[in-house]
Amino acid sequence: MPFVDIQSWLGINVDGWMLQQSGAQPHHRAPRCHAFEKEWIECGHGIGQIRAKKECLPEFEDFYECMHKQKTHKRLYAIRQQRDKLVKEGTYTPPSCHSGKPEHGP
Amino acid sequence: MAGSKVKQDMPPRGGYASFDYKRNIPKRGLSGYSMFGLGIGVMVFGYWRLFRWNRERRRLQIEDLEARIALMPLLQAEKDRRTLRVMRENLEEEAIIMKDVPGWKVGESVFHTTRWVTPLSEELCNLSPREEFLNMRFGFLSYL
Repeated sequence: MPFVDIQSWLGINVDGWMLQQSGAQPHHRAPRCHAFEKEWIECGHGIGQIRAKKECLPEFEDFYECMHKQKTHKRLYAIRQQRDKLVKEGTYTPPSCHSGKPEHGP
Repeated sequence: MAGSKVKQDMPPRGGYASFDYKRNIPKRGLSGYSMFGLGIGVMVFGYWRLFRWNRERRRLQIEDLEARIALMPLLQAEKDRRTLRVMRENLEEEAIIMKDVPGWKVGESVFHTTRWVTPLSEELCNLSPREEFLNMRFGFLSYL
């Protein structure tokens, strides 16, 4: 119930520890999208989730992108498709650094 | 039938010599308590050696961990340099590949923020053959 905080009244923490990635983690290991989630929560604190998704849209979109990487994958896919198209046409050859040869140097 | 003279196989005159037929189970060896004591003594000695060696192993493991901590800045710096170099190469390649695609901004970040976002392994070897990606992701699983 939102107005009666039973868990803190009883002193137990049944699910509070897993509600957000940015809480206390075992071995203090930071999650991958910790910064994005922190920004979104700081931006949308106290105004409720529905409003936070609308009003803090840039932070929320960045957080979502960090978690699911959809835009990144779409972009990478587009680059790969274009490169394969160019290779098939014969106008482009991959340079030596991308041909899978072992690396020389740091 | 005792009257008829039949050749029978009889014992010799004077009977057989006597022989030892009583059971002979000599009491020998350690008693039960001493055997327990010996076993427990061997075990205690084994435990003592084990605990000593385990303490030594723990000291050796701490030394290994310290060596790892000492090397971490160097390895992290090398990895960061490599990441930046590969990202730069990818950016230049992207500029070459996508120059005929309308409406494409080279090096455009998919995020609204200008913070540094650690690149994915797919991003780093997007233009490399697939073996490199698999090696980057799962190479630590093989021993060779």
